[in-house]
Amino acid sequence: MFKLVLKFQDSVLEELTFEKTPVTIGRRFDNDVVIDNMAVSGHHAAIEEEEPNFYVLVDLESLNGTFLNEAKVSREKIFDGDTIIVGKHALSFVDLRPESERPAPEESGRGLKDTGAYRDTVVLDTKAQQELLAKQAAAKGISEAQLAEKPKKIDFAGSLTIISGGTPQIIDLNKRLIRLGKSADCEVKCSGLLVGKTAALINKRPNGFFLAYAEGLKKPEVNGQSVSTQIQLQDGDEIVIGNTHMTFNVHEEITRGNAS
Amino acid sequence: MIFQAWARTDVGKYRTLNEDCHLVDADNGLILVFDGMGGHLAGEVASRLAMETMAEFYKRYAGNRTEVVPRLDNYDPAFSYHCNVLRHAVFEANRVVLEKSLQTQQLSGMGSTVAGMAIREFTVSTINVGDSRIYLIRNNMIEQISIDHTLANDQVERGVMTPEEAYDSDLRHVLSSVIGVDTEVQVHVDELSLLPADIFLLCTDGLTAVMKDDEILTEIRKTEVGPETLDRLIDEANRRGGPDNVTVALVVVSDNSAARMKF
Repeated sequence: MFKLVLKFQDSVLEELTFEKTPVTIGRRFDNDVVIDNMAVSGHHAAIEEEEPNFYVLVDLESLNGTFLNEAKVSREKIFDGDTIIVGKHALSFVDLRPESERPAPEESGRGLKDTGAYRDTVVLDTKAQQELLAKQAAAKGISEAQLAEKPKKIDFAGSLTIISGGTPQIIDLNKRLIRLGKSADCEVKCSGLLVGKTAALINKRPNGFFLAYAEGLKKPEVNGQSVSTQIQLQDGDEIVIGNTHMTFNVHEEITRGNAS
Repeated sequence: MIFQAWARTDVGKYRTLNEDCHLVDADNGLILVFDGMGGHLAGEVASRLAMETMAEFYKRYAGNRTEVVPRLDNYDPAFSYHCNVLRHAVFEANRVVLEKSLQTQQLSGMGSTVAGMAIREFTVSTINVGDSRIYLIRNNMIEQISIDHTLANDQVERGVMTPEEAYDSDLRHVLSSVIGVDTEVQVHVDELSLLPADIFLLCTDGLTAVMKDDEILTEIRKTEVGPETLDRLIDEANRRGGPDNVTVALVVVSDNSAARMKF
């Protein structure tokens, strides 16, 4: 059971008491609370009940929005003392149930929900984000100093040493994708009759380097084994594509900060 | 390699507006999904504008190479040219959506996420902003390729929360990067080599809010992958409450030497 006190510019227009829900609010006269003003939609908002003992304010896709204590909401729990704003009118919500039957505002985790209706995705500005994160970290007993230390990330540094069938050199695998083959576009040129234009690719993933077969009648070989799909490369692996022989090397590097 | 792609969207069981949108451009190998926010049609404006801007930019500079290549912001040589074009397409969408949002009071604060991929002959570039996701299903395992730009994920990366805690946390719904809201936008990109039988799933958070990764994998594996798989995923999301708009796109890669698609 609750009461709604309808006000316009601080003048009380009427007081309505309700025992059952839903209670609808809008400009059309089939609403429970009729507000005759062009800023109010025909069916603007409603108050419903939600288990176990909550009242909920719901915006019915109104043109100008429904506000609860100055925050725009779509579906939000309301408590004794809250103010609903619809167009230019205000409705004070008075919960008439005995205290024992009412939920405590803390139970709803209101602090977080103030930033937007429950389950809606919200965007906060950077300052608000930082405050939210710090609050949660503090609640978990993690100090600012611990947070300031950026997490360690393991990065892999890989290289290919061309032994024969190409210009002798060491090629750093510093791109996410390295192409091996006959084509001029390839970072690693491989020679041989049945070698594909793109014979294989070396893909750098978070957990290491992978060699994938692309095209060509002659498939790449790693340590003498033909690769028809993909294989993770280990330090010291011998790769043969056509006439080109190379050695793959990899080592871990610990980096601080974000490496994406 | 060739690929097939399908996309579906549904308003869900709770909302009355669908602010998600999606694009499948087979000619350019571009598949994108967007989740708009802003309410009262602003979200729909943001997602659609981001989609059109990105598609246009990518097609222009990645597809037909006769156009003069523009200066690409923050060019990262660790990634291919196409990947950098895709990333710049997001910067362009960000600029356009932000500008539009400042023009009208009703559109103020609007924004959009994106999860997308650009497929080439043997490789794919992936990109995401916000909490829309990209998954790779390979060898009967599911792996998230995108990285969520949410405060919950930030906390996981900082070691304040475990992934399990993050799943239940309200911070999951607070985005740390969105298209169209700030002059700078954080973007996550990646590049992968493709293998035959690879399956990619792109989705907005309407799906992942109610289904866990392993549940998604189980559902996808029930039958051979096709457009019906998308219908089943949407039905399942709605069966579980459908709290948000849900958009899903599936891309299946295969090796078909008999009928090669031109790239």
